[in-house]
Amino acid sequence: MNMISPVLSFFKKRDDEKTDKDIVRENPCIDCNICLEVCDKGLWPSVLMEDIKAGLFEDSRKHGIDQCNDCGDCSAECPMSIPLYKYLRVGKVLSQYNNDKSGLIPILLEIQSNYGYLPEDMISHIARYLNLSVGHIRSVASFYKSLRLTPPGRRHVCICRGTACHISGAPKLTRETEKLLGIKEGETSADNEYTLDTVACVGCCALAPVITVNSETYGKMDPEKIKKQLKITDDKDENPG
Amino acid sequence: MITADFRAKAETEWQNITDPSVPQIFIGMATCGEAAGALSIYKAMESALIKNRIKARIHKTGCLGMCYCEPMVDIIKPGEPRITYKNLTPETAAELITDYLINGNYRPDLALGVWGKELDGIPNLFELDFMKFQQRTALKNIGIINPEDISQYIACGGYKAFEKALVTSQQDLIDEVEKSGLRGLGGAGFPTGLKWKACYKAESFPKYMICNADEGDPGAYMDRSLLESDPHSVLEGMLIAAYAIGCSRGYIYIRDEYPLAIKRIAIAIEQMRQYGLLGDNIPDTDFSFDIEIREGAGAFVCGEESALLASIEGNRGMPRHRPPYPAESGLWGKPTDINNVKTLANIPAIITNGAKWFAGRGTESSKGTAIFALTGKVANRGLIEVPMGITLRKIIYDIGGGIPDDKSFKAVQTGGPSGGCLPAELLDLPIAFDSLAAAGSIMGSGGMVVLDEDTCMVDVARFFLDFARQESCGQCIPCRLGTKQMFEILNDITTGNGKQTDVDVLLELSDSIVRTSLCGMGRTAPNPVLTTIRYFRDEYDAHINDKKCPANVCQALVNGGQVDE
Repeated sequence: MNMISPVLSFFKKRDDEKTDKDIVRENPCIDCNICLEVCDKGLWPSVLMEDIKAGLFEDSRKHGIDQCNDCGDCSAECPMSIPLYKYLRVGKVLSQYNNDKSGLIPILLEIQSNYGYLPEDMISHIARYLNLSVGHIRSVASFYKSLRLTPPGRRHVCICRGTACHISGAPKLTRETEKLLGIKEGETSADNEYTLDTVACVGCCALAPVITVNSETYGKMDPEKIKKQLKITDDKDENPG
Repeated sequence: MITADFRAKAETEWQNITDPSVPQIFIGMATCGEAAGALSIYKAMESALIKNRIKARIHKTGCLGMCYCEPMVDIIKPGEPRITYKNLTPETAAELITDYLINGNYRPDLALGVWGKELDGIPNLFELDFMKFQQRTALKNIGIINPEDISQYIACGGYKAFEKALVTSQQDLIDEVEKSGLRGLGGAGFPTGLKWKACYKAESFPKYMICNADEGDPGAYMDRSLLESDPHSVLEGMLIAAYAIGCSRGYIYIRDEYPLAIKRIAIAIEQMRQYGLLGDNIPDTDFSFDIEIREGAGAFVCGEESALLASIEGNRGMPRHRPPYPAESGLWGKPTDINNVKTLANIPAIITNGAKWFAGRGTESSKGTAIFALTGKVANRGLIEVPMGITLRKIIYDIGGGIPDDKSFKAVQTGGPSGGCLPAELLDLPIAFDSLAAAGSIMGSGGMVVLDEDTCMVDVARFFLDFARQESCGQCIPCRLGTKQMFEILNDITTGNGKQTDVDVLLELSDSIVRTSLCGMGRTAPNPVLTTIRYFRDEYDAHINDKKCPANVCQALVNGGQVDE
């Protein structure tokens, strides 16, 4: 008799106990290779997924994971609806750091630059591959101001609260912007358009007060100019190019 | 390794740029330039050149440090000296093309200075007050070369110091740095040579080299400018340090708020690999070294070295008790040398010119130069490198051009949240590590914010304590709760709820925090309060006793408590 504890056996069925359904759930790929056909970059997403699932990042690099451009076609066309792109995305980042726990912060930053924040399922993926607890990753993510656990608005407005900006009127600017956008510092507007934050210092002190909108820096701001700036970015978005 | 051929080629190429056959246009494209509109200037000039069918080359340089003149453009017309133009708009930039390049009008109204003798009423750039008193060593290339092109750095003497270091013994290099008297320019001022020696003597391998570019001080941007405008000088310093100590791996820990700096270092590192300056067995030696960029994630405390190490290891950036110092037990318990960006940028000059030359400048205990980001209420805001021992008055009035709008000077804040505010009485204080510490402030990493009569000193103290409260890692109680208590008391004072005993309580709290905090951040956090109480006690009294804010800043105390918005 296999010595498996009752609790574990509840979760993990022995091979002979598995039904067809269980097998499909564990490995839903039916080797139809449609993902291979649809990939613009000529990658084989299902193979890459296997590499990543097995933690073989070295192999995933050999199989060209770096070329993936996150188009998502593989997942969209998969007849079994496997979220291939999610594996590829996290795998692409992790493969650069080879299961190295010290890469946690760059990995989180990279995931965030893709999603705008750290989605819960990505955190559990990373935890599994780096052999860390979800709690540890959340503790790290909540420590650093740049890492977000909630999605930001489409326009991330940051007001610099550095010394030079402070004495040049950043507090008043923050109050005015809060009024203008109808949200408080740290909040996201209901239509998910704006998120208002402050940043310790963007290092453009000679142009104080400074704001950044989606990482673009704008200097010598006043409430009027902020209004204009947000309007200008409106126009830009409406008429791309 | 840089071959003699390549160096000669780079030098000829540079010669073709400085003494060109077609006009050369240099546009300052550091973060501050871009924020001031350098990109639109670039586009305007490009289209004007195309429209007028002029053959010219446009270079993207870093920042010359004269932030008050941004956006800036330099032009070299064949047979003419390099002329710098200031505060351009897309329209005036396009005018320059037609007026200067086609019609030969120097446009003195737009010009800032000539790189050489005075010309048509345009003064010599280096005779301007802003430049005259500076001694640029670490900043010697900024705004002059293209930071994304290693050959321009090489043409200006780059990597010669590294070549010289490779034929010197490790012990001699460390001795040379020690003799030069160079002290860490990140704030604490620990002698760099001693740090290197301790790490060199540690008998554990591998050893690590870290460049601390986590410039968290609000109101300071020296490291950003240096990394954006001349990344190779810092990387060369790192190479020399790594060789002298025997490190095999290096990290640059840089704030993620500086995306352009990160991009330029990444390009620079890639170029170094290409020319064999990084990697296994750097040719002709058995020295192997590679550098990796690690981005910070917005935590001020990670500038503290033990917190920085925790962050690179992938943990919460919380400081630990020292000793053991990182030189003995640092990254993953291995000997680690951590130097600031500016310290490393000074290394190539010391190796090239010798310790004697370096020690010949500055004061008895503080050698060489200091780099400051001069900002706030001052006419000429920008990046300056001045010899140690220069007075505050000279910096603020001669280099900075005094206070704008006929306002009067009130104080100067140095050292960011760990420093203090110095009043007008101390304007003649010579700047050095010890003199600033004696006055209650610190040298800090180089932020220098000038405050005028419209600034409320209690509000400034409150601002810094608010910063300290938010950035405290929360590990030790004096810093976590002490700064919060101090902030709340200061908040009460600025909202008209101050009590007679408040100042005494602030002093007592400061004393406990200074004595019992775990790391340097906590130990220096009360400095802004201590110095403002020491030099501006009358303002505290006015807030507490008369419920008045003399500078009309504190909203609750202006107009008899009526908030004016």
